[in-house]
Amino acid sequence: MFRTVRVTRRPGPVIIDHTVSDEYSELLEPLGEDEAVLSIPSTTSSVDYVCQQYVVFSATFQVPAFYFSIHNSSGEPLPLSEILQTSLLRPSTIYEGNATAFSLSTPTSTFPLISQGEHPTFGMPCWYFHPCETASAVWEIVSEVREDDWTDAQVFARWVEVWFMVLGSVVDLHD
Amino acid sequence: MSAYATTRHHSPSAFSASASTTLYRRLTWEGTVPLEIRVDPNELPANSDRGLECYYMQAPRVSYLPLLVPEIRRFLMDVVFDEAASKMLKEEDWWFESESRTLIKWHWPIGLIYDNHIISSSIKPSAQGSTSYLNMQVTPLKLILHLASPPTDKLLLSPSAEACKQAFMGQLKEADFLRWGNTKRMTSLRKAEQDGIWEGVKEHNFDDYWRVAAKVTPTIAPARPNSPPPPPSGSMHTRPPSADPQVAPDRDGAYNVRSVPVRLYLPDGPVLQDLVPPMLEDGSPHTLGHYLSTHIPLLFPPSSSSDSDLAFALIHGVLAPSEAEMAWLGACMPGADGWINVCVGIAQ
Repeated sequence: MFRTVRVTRRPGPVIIDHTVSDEYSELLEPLGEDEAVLSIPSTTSSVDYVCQQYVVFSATFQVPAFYFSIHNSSGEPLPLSEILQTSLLRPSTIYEGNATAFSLSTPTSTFPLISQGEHPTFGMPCWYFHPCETASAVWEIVSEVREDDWTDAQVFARWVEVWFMVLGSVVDLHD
Repeated sequence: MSAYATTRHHSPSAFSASASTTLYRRLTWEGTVPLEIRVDPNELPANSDRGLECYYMQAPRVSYLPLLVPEIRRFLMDVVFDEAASKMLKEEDWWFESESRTLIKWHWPIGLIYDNHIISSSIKPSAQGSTSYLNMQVTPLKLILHLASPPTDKLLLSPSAEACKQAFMGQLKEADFLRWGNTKRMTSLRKAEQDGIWEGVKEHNFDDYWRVAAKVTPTIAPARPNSPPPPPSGSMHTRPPSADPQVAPDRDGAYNVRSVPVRLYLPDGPVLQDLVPPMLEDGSPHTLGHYLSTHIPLLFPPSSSSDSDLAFALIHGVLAPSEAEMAWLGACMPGADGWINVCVGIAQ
């Protein structure tokens, strides 16, 4: 399952990215400090990117996983530091994490939140949300709403809906 | 074979693995492949010594290209590039292609790159006549090194040792999850141990690597009452069952994992991954032959009892027999990242 959507650079204050020139830099500067905030000049506020999105089945974790790539108008893939500034990701997703050139991780988790990896079917490089905690997060919600008389098919249909809902809390899935 | 193991390796039980297990782990670890690395002639900086732009090396199968780059760079700086040119070069921009212009994935283990090249060659009409893998000489894998403008839409970004470590640790944790249904074994390793396992790969140090890896890799216990013995059972009988230090038998046993971490590579094709239980429903061990005939029955017909004459399966460059048990492979012949990579080529 895949689709192509347009995303934009997030309007409003953006982070001056100290990581662009330094591939090994540990932290994205937190928003709010004076020197780290500026307004986007109006000429750049409508930068359009093309975002390719895939829902694929993770053979390891046996759950769906969300893979994506974002390219600029000349077809170059965006580095992670710029992906983090697009409208694809909800702001709350980003500020909790530590970004390097190749991953966004949170201090407490085993796997990075966003890593780069091969698309499981097509083999090309993508970014993906790590599916290791997916099953437990989704089942926690499904078990709350589940009715006794649901068939397996109903449970799994609901499961997929909840999966998209959980995904939607970190990614803006609107066109 | 066990005599070989015990005489050569003085303390086979150092990592609470049997001598035969340790032997196969060491053979896997010590495997190397020959590489020929040639800088793309169009990209050689001015004033380079053009007679010497080729570098030959014997690289560990369990290593990674970004870990070889410093050695390659040293060679090029010493004898090929002049000083001004070498200052301009950035290793992060380096990338590799095969002779047939296939991009080389830097995050794959080198042995997998080599085997994948062999199976891809197996479907190409060969100029040398009837060369099957069986009678083929081991020849260097010819790689073209490009010094600038990596195709970022086709390769993962930032081929640094640090990015490589993260990809490697990610694979180890996935393998852990497949085996046990969680990553507790990996996450309970201390930071120093997690770093140590990567250092073992980086320095190609068997003892450093397995000191930590033994804590996450399943074991082959000498006595397993409920499952049949693994293939090299002859050497197991030399150790009485009481020598097994485990009290709760086999909680870490290779035949008790949920799934063996296996990926199946086809020539120029997709990578297949599925759950691979160590035992079949009828209680018999899951063999490589069964695995192959289930997933690619046209190449490995289920009916034939012998090895297929249509295709061959390589694991770490070794022609793997169909009766090899998946659980045994997972415990004794995993790559450094914990995975069994089965590369399938077409017999000619």
